[in-house]
Amino acid sequence: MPLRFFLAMFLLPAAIIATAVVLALVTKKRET
Amino acid sequence: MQEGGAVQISADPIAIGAFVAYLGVIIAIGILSARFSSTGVSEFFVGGRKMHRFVVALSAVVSGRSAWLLLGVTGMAYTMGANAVWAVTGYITAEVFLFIFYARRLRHFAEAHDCVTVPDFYAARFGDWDGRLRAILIAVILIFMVGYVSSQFVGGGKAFAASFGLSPGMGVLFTALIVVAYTTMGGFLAVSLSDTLQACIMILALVLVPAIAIADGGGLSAIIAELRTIDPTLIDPVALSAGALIGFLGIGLGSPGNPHIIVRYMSIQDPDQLRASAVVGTIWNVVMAWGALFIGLAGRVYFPDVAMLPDADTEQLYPVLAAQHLHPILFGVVVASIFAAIISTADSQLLVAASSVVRDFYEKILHRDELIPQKRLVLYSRLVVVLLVIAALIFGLLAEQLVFWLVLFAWAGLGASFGPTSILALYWRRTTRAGVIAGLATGTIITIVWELTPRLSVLMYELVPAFAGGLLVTVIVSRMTRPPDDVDAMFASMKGN
Repeated sequence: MPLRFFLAMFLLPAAIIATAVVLALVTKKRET
Repeated sequence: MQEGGAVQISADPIAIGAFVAYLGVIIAIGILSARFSSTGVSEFFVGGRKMHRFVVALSAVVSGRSAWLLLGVTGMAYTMGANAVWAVTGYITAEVFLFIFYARRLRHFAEAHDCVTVPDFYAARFGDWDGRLRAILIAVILIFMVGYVSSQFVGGGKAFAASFGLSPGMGVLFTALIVVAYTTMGGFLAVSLSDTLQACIMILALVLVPAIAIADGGGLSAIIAELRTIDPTLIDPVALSAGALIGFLGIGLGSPGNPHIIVRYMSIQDPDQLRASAVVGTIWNVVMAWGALFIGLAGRVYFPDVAMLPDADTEQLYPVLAAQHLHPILFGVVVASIFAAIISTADSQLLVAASSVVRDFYEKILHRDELIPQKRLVLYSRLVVVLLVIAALIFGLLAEQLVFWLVLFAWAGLGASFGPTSILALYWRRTTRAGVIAGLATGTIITIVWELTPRLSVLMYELVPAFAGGLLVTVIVSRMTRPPDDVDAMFASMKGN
């Protein structure tokens, strides 16, 4: 599988979900 | 399965039965929500701010995704291959930040100042004593939203008619009838709960169709190899111009400006739960979007030439591919997913338009300083929903060209006017009412002028320059005018203090 295709079709969506999870956790921690 | 572009499921009575059952559930949701929504305008238009985090997450996500995701993005991936990935990356990323940061401040402010609508928020934030700002917002919402709802009815009607062998006019009427039934009865609660059901149907279809199509095609490696043979740029996600890339990512700038999405954030019961909504909503957004992308990629292998699709229309790819690869019952789910995408957007837009007539115009401008019984306001709200549906139907059936003209500007126009001004209102203390009015006008005008100027429109999606222009003008005019006196108290209320 070409690398750029893999990055766009698999790593990018995973990174977006990870961003949401990390932001949710970081903002929660900052408030408590 | 299809002839002359009409995808038929009428051959299978079980599929029709499943589809009718799905419609029955939606109507039942409307009936069951009616009592709660009859309590007052807050309940009818924003669910009394008592919505569950998952309902808010899924409702916000699917309200923003019309048939554009199922038919447009699949078609885009068919034509552009992996380059279409940027068309979904922008709005999904934008919505992560909206859920986590923007939505919390808005929700806290909405409760502190009893805001039911988006114009309510602007009016409270900027002390709109003469109702001028509110009137401008009502006009912008009504112009774009009625056009939007109308286009959804036309799109839904055509999909429905093609699937069941009805005339397009009958399909449009039927779509409108379903939407008006549960929205009138159940208000925001019915719309949000039905959106949640629609979100489940959409994600199911958007996982099933690509998975089966790719498996039938010999697996992902075989699909990629075929795509490379057809055109190597189909598997290269950066084979597009910088202008196209920025324009695609810029689609996300529309999310903070579309009131039917924003109002969902105001409806959550506990603002702290918006973090959970962010995670759930993002997973849903990502799975649905990448499902649509993989449908487009797999579809290009099955139909290498666009002439192989009905009417050579790439937007037909999704139902055609599903008809080819799925059991009739599962194909019924696919048809339901198109219908779900359309009505989950139409109902939310309809409610926002009705709220600007009843809450913003009738209650807050026409009868300002008067106490109107809540029951009467709910009754008027229901009547206005029906009237708006009739208006949208007349538009859709008699002035289809005008509707498509309005929709062309709707996402970008709303995004460029409400987007920068609402972000500044929430985050910049110096923002003033005059700045917001100037920003609203600038964003809308740049959107229309850019789109209508061929030399500009080929450079980039109009939302990007219009958003930037709206932002800049709001800042400049705000700098030249005086901010509200109680701005510190306003900002404290955004933090829940």
